[in-house]
Amino acid sequence: MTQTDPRLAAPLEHGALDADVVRRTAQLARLALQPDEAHRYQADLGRILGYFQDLQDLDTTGVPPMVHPTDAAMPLREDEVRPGVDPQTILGQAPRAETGLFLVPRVVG
Amino acid sequence: MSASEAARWQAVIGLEVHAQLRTSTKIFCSCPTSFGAAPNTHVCPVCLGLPGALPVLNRAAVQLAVRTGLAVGCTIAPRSVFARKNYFYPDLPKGYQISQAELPVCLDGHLDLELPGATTDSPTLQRHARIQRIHLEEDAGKSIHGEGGAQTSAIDLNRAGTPLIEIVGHPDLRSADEAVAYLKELRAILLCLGVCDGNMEEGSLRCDANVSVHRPGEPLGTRCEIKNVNSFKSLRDAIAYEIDRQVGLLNDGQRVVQQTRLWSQERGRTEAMRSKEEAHDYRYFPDPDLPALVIDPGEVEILRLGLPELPAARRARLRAEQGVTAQAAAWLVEEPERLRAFQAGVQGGAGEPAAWATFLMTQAIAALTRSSRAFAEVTTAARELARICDKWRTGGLSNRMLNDVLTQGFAGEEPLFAALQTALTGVGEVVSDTAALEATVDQVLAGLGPQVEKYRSGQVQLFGFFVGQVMRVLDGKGDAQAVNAILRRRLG
Repeated sequence: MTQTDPRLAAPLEHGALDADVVRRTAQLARLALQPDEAHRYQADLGRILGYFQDLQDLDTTGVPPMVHPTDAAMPLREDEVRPGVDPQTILGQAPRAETGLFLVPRVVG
Repeated sequence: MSASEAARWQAVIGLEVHAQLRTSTKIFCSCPTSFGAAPNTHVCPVCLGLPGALPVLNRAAVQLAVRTGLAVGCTIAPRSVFARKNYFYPDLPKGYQISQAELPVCLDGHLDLELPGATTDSPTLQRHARIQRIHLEEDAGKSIHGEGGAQTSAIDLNRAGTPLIEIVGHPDLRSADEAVAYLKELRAILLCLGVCDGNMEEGSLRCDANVSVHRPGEPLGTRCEIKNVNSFKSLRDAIAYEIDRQVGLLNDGQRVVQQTRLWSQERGRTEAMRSKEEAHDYRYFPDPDLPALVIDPGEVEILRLGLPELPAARRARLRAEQGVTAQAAAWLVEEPERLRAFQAGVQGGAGEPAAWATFLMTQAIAALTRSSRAFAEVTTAARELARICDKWRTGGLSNRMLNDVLTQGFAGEEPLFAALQTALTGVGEVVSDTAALEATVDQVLAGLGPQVEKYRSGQVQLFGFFVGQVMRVLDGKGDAQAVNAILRRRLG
C-alpha cells in the first residue's frame, strides 16, 4: 500500500529537499546522479513539492478524490483473440535475444 | 518445545491468494492466454509495454472477478480504480504492474470453513474467515535464470498481462490446518465457478501466507510474509515451520523481525528474503490510462443469478439427499471431475450413491493411482465402476475378485470401460452355492484337526485362519458371508 515518506510530506523550509530523499528517489527510478545533479534536484524537486504544498493548503473537505481527468466510464473489450505482432520483429529489436527469448543481465530470483 | 509452552502461543494467519482467470485473452489486450506456447509468441505492443500502447480492459475478466466476489459474499464496488504499482524487473516491461489499490472491485467477503472434528464424520469446528478484498491485476512474464549463460536471465513475456485476481484474507486463521482448509475451500469455489483452473504446480493458483504469533488477549505479534508456497503440503509445512520458528525466538527472549521469507520445500524451512527496511516502495497511483471501472448493479444481479451451486451447499446436499459421508462429500466437491464421475455413476445406475461415493474415493482411486491412466477415464467408465461396486457390495464379488477386476481393468490396454468389462467377465462368478461351500469347508476342516481342536478349546482368533484356508481352496472366489456362516455352524 502507499506509504508517504514523512520527509516528503513536509518540504524543507528553505525550499530544498533532503539529500537522502533525492538519493532514494533516484534509486527508485534507477537513475545514477552525479553530485552536481543531486544538488540541482534537491532544489528543483523541493520547488515542485512546494507547489503541491500550495495545493495541500486548500480545503478539500467533501471533495471526492479525482482519479481521472474525465468522467468517462471504462470502455470494455470482448474476450476475443486477435493476432499480436510477429515475434521476430520484436526480438530483432532487443539488444540480445536467443531461441525466442529476450536475454538480460542476470537477475537474482 | 513442550506442549505447555506451545499452548501459551496462538498463531495468527492470513492468506493472499492469486488466481489466474480463465479468459481467452489477456486482461488489457487481445493476446491469447493459453499455456505452453513457444516463448514470446503471445505478445503485442500493449503487453510488451511499448510506448503509446493503451490498455483496454477485458469484460470477461471483470465478470469472473465479480462472480468470485459474489460467491464469497463480497460487496461489488459500483466504481473501482486501477493503479500503477511501480517496480523494476525484466519480466515487467512497463516498469509497473497495473493493479488495484484503494478501490478494489470486491470488498468484505468471507468463507465459512468446516474443520475436521474429533471423528471424520462429524465436522465440529467452524471457522468464519473474513475476506478483506478481491482485486484485479495483470500477471508478469516469466524469468528463466542462467539461460543463455551464467550471467544471463531469459525472459518470456507470454504470461505478461494474464488476468489475475488477488484474494486478500483477514488474519482469521489459527493453524496450518485451517490455512489449508481455507485454501482448499477457495480453490473448490474457483473451480466450481470456472474462474480458475486451480493448477498450483503450473502457478495458476499461488498463495502467500502472513504468519505471526501472540499470547491470547495480548496485541498481535510481528508478522512475516511467506512466499513460494506451491502446494497444499508446502502451505501446511511452511506455516508449521514458521510458527515453531517464531515461538522458538520468543521463548528464547528474542524478537521476531518483520520480513519476507521464502519457503524451501527441499530444505524444509523458511529463509529471509528481505526485511521491512528493504521492502519495496511501490508508489501506487491511479493509472491515467484507465478510467474508473463502473459496474452496473443490474449487471451484478444478473451475474448473481448465474452462480452455480457452491461447494458448501453441494456437500450438504450430497450428505442430506444421498447419504454420502462427510469425508466423501468433501472429497467429491474438491474437484469438479470427481463430482462428474460420481454423477455419471449414479446416472449409470449405482444402487446406493453413498456406497458408490466411498468406492470411488477409495478402491477406484487406489486402482487409478497404481495405473498410468488419467482421471478422465474414470468418468467415462463410471457406469462400469458403479456396476462393479454394486456387485461387490451385494456379495456378487469377493474382495479378492474385486481387487482382480480393478487391477486387470486398469492395467489393460483398451479404454478403461472396455477393459473393466473384459476383466469382470473373466473373473467369473462368486461361489455362493451352499452345498458346494459346505463341501469345501468340510474338506478343509478335515485336514486341520489340531487347529479345530484348539479353536474349540478357546482359541477363537483362529477363525480368520479357517476363512483364509477355505478361500484359498476357492481361489478367493467364495462368498465371504456364506463361508463365515458355514464355518460358524461347523465349528460351533
